[in-house]
Amino acid sequence: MVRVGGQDRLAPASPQEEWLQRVARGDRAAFERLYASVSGTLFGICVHMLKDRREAEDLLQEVFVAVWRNAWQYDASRASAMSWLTTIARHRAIDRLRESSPIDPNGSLDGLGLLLDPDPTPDEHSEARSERSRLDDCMDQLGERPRALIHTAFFEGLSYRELAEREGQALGSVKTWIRRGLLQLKACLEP
Amino acid sequence: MSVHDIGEHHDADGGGPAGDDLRAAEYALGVLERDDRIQARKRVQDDRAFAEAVAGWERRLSAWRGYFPRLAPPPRVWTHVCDALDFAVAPEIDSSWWNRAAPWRVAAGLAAAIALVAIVKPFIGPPGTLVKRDVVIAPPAAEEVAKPVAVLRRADGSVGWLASLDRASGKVLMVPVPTPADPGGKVDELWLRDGRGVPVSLGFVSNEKAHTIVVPAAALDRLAVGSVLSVSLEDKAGIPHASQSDRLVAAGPIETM
Repeated sequence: MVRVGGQDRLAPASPQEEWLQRVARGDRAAFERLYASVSGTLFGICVHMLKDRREAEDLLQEVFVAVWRNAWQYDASRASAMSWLTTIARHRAIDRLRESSPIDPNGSLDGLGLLLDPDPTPDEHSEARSERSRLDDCMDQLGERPRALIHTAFFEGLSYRELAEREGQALGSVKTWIRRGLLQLKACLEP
Repeated sequence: MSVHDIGEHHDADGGGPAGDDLRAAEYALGVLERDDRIQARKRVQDDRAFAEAVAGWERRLSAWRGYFPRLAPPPRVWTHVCDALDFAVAPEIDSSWWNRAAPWRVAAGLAAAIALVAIVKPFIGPPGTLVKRDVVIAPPAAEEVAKPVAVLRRADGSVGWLASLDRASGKVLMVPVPTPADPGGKVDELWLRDGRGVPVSLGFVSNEKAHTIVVPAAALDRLAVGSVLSVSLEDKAGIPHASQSDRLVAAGPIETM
């Protein structure tokens, strides 16, 4: 998505936002600090979704190259820096999943030799947490099937067809459950 | 209402505002198959309302980002990022603009375009001496030397334009890497914005020929480090426009002045 302008906020909302805005102006030191701060979060998304450590490393590299080149498209008035960055990582992971042969839907993260980053996610401040609990509360109001399907779709990056195969359900039913869930979710979040 | 009614009344394939928002949600959630996903992404670039809808869904769903495990990547990834961006190659020659603009250094293939705007690093040595080089270029005249340059890149990272900036005369020389005209008949318009302000139009910019653009006096103070030059596709009529469209084609920061 291409966006420019509209940044009428006077001060950056987070260090990540400030670094991202400096990266947009070609500041390499800010890019290094941004990498140090958020690479653990983005790598976690890459590994979790691709379930392949080497491919996740490759994807993380691709994501940061894209961040350096596209930082000027970041608009602080539309999304927090962490939301923008994690969305890029997640979408690029899904792109890879769609391009590659289907992953083992029952694959797990066990045995990948992962080292958990002990630091908390950079934006685990109260605002991010309250957004999340609102989303969780609204998810709790959905039926069991839509809730489970939307969750799996978001965290595993599975397509409609892959979800239908995994659940052993008709494709049309899976689409309907998810669409109904999404509509209810929006109505709940933005009444 | 049965489960199947929803599919009929809110079919994302069927269009309409409700269908569009559902399609945006499906794209943001990531459930679309490959071809539908590519189509939706293209629409994000071309359809402002759809792009807004996708952004809304991405904002809603990204509240879950904290649930992903956080894992430390091995140090080699950073090295690879630097290699891919050509960061490791930073020859310490001198303190010319060339080095200060290192992150935006132009690829070797653009050397010809650089020569065109006479921003070649002047040769060291007495006048008339031929410095041993692969390519011999006459030293530029004094008044042509050391104009700061901004590199406007396209979203894929390729260079779209070089902008040679002359604040004293309030002029910007725009040198395009020639590209085909927009099939939809739109033209390129140049914009200048400071760190926080809205973009101000500098008028039409050619996608095939180098030409000089005069910066309006009111926008001259934006011709400074930290500002961003950008090019967007706009209707031919009404240039200079009051506000920039979403169809941004290239942008680059002013690094030195």
